[in-house]
Amino acid sequence: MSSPISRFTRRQTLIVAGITASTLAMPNIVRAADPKLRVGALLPLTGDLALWGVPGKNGAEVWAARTNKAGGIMVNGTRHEVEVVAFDGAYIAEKTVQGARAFVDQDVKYTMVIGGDDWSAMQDFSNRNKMLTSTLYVTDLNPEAKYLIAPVEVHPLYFGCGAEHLRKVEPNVKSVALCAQDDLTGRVALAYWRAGFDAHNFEIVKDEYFDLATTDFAPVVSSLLAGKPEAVCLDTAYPSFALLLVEQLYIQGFKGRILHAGLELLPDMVRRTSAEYMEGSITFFPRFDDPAIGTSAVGFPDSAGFYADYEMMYPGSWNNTSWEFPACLEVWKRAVETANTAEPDELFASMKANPPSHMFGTAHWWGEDLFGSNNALVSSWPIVEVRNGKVDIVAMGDQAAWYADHRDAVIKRFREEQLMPDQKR
Amino acid sequence: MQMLIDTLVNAAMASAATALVSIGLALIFGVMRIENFAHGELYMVGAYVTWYVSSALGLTYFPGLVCAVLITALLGALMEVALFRRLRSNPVGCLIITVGVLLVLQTAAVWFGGVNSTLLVDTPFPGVLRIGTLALPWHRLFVIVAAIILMLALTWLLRRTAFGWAVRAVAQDAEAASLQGISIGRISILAMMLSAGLAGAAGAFMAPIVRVNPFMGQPVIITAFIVIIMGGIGSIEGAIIASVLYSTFFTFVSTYLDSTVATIAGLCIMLGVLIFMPNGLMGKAEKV
Repeated sequence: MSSPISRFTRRQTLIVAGITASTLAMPNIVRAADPKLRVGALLPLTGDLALWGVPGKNGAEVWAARTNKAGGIMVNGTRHEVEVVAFDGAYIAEKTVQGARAFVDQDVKYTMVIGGDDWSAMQDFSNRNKMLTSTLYVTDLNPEAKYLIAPVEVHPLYFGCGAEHLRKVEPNVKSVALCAQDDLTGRVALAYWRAGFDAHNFEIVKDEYFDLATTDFAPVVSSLLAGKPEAVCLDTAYPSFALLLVEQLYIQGFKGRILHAGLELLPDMVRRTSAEYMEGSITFFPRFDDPAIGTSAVGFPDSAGFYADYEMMYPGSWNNTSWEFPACLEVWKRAVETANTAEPDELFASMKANPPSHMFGTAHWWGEDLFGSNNALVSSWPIVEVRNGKVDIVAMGDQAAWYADHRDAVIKRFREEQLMPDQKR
Repeated sequence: MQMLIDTLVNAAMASAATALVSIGLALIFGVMRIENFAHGELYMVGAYVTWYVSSALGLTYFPGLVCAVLITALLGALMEVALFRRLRSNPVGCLIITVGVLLVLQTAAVWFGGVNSTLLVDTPFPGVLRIGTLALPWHRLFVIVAAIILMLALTWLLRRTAFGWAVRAVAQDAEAASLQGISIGRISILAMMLSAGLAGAAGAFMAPIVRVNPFMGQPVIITAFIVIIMGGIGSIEGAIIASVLYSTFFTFVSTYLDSTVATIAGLCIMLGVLIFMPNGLMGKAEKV
């Protein structure tokens, strides 16, 4: 019996081999035939920030399922399915860059990160590979970050509105104490809070950073309460830190308002203190089963339906980032459908010319003053209070307007922390 | 005044927990001449076992505490039999092995419980003891009392029992002890179990207070090494005294200044002790 190979001439074999090699060596050509649009969740799925990363990834997947069910994303008359690709960056520089490389290989059109240390690691790579990326930390923005946007959260901008709200609800409170872990997240947050407290005539009686390796927070809180503050700000302590800080505040007899950006572990805080103790704590992230969410999150279609689907797909894992990353994706989707392209340069130019709607309403690009780059999409932001063990939206704050009114205070405090664009290395 | 009392209570609690961990480390170095870098991870395992038994399985805190001590003791025995015994004549090899065990235990904790640091252990003693205007958290008082009881029991064990005499004999001169009929292998296993059990107990005591996460042993082992160097390597009494001195200093500086300043200052104190008392507070000079 003759060998199958011998049926081919040498010329035919070479031609087939050449075609195969060309196909394999030209992934762009192969991928161009793939109608899916890939978005990347380059998030900490392990590590201390997994509490933000895992719900974020889950939320992105729920969003993708709902978007695909509704017909996908329309680009140039063609509907495309969207696929979420996840990579565990663990909030570690090397792993984040590894993930970014993987995303480029997989032709990811839009990448989402938490921001801070992970973005710092991948900025150069993102520029070289034109990776349109969203961050939750507006302080990542800088003139060198060519493809970075902050389309939803502009942490820490809403803290100014938070200080204003505290003054409104506690007109007689004079003194506050602040603490956070000693890293970029903590320093940025406290710089803005300081500006907010300066602007609204609060006296800062204690202001400290604690080491990231701290496990026992009793000494930290003892020190914080030494100045007898009437309100305590714990921003932006990571969730597990915040829980232990709140517990210590309770044990050591603090009775005033507590301020924290997310209060992600509120159910545990209530369990370790009480619903009465947490009553009135001020935070900035609403729950999606809040009846007021529909009227506040006007740029997030069917927020109640999204929440229901999320709870069905990932019961018990809901957190603030569960909706933040889908909100980033919603902004991107609107921009893609407006620009009729998902290619980074054209899309980015279109977004800048036609600012997409933000989750909480009409928005404009902002940030040149503080960050050297107008790539933050800024709109209103909710002020939320703890009521009966849950968070309720009590007001909407105009972040950009607050900044415009108190610009000098913010710049002064940012300069103290070496956070201004001309100070960053 | 409240802040001073709070700081004193915190310092006492930190001293107690540090002493338990450091004694175990000193014991192993004294008996087996091994610097066990995985000792902090035994503390971590103790905390994880406490969490698993009390929270995940729904049993109460005290079964968790007992399981923590037993499991870490067994882990210590396993380490001695499977690893250290084979490298008795190779101190550098032993050191490297302990680093390997450290990484394995951390990774196992990540795999087992995740890394999100939100594993909560409820204390069996919630609330505070109020004396006038002073508020003393019950669980911290429990840690102090329990650690003192354990240290007194250990002192009795080492000074009044045949096992204790054998441990001290091996620590003093292993060859001579062997010639006296003391089984080095058996003493090593038991000493390792005791050491690991103490670390596990410390982890269990601290679990309701600190963040239970796979890396919680790292600051603990650094502190423990500082303490046993200050106290005199191999000296249990020195470890206890140095634990109190260092932890009190660290807690006060952390509270009144800054935890980063406290860390740096603590290391400077260790350097100072080594410059002026090279054998530590209670260590003995050895002839070269």
